[in-house]
Amino acid sequence: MSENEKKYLLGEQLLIRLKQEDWDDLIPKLQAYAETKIKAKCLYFTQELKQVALDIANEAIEKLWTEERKWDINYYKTVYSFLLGAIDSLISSYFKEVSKNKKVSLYVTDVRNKTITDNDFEAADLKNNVDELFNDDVDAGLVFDLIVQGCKPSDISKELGIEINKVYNAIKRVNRKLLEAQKLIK
Amino acid sequence: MEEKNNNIISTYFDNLANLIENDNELAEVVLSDEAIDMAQEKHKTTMLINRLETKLKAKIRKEKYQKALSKLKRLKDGLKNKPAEYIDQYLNKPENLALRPLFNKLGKLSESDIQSMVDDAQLLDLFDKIDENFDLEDE
Repeated sequence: MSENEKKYLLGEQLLIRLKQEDWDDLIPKLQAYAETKIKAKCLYFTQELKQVALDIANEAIEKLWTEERKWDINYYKTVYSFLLGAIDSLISSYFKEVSKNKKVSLYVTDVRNKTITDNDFEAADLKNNVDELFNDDVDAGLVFDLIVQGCKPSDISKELGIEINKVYNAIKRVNRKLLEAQKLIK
Repeated sequence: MEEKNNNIISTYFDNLANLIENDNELAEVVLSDEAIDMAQEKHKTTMLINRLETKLKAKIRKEKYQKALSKLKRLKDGLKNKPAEYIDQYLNKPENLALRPLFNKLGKLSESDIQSMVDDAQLLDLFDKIDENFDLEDE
């Protein structure tokens, strides 16, 4: 059977596979993924959107268990990757629907597939406004820059020579500052 | 300029989302929120999964039952055209001896018999084996 051939996991096989999953581990990751992807798409993140993210994570799970969205295991090798695909699709549908009613402000361009190049990153005018946010918090500014470049927390910890917990705390501050900045822009 | 800032912020969150898979702590950091009780949200999702599991089990059970009923009907129709010696010969093979008691019951099965046999998948296994050997699939 070729790798591209669809192979859906259904019925009893699906049940067996889903019962093997560690849902306690998966649930927060799915919720966090949905929330962060919405933040990536939406200029003004609100508590209402946080609830939307949680609902979307649940809806993705529901579509898998009810076989409404069939799991092609040749395409999505893990439950997690399948559910991320479902969440992406639900978020996309959600924003299509709400943007018709102009309930939320989206980013002007869709940058999901865009890679920031060094030139982009070094362009002074690109960073000015964001940098201002981190004037009083050097660690948060550096962590922000490194995540934009695709570094993971453990790499950032090594790069900056700080404990991993400090990296996580800096990420919390970055997220808080971005949220505050978005409120100000609004 | 605002658009470019938006792009860089969007890239930040996209990258953050992609880092979550292998990082439980990062998931917690992202979800930390004073306004929403995340433990409660996790509990709600766990309850949802329990309900979905029950629904999926019921669906599988119903599908097995329907499959068994349709196979039983096909089998009864198909056996009318088979000589008794042929069936006997098949059931006398050492590897098929265990099938005989079930096979003998087929003619007088009630719905509750079928249901109880479907539950442990005995009947479907029997039908599958008989289908294979007697070419009854395409009646």
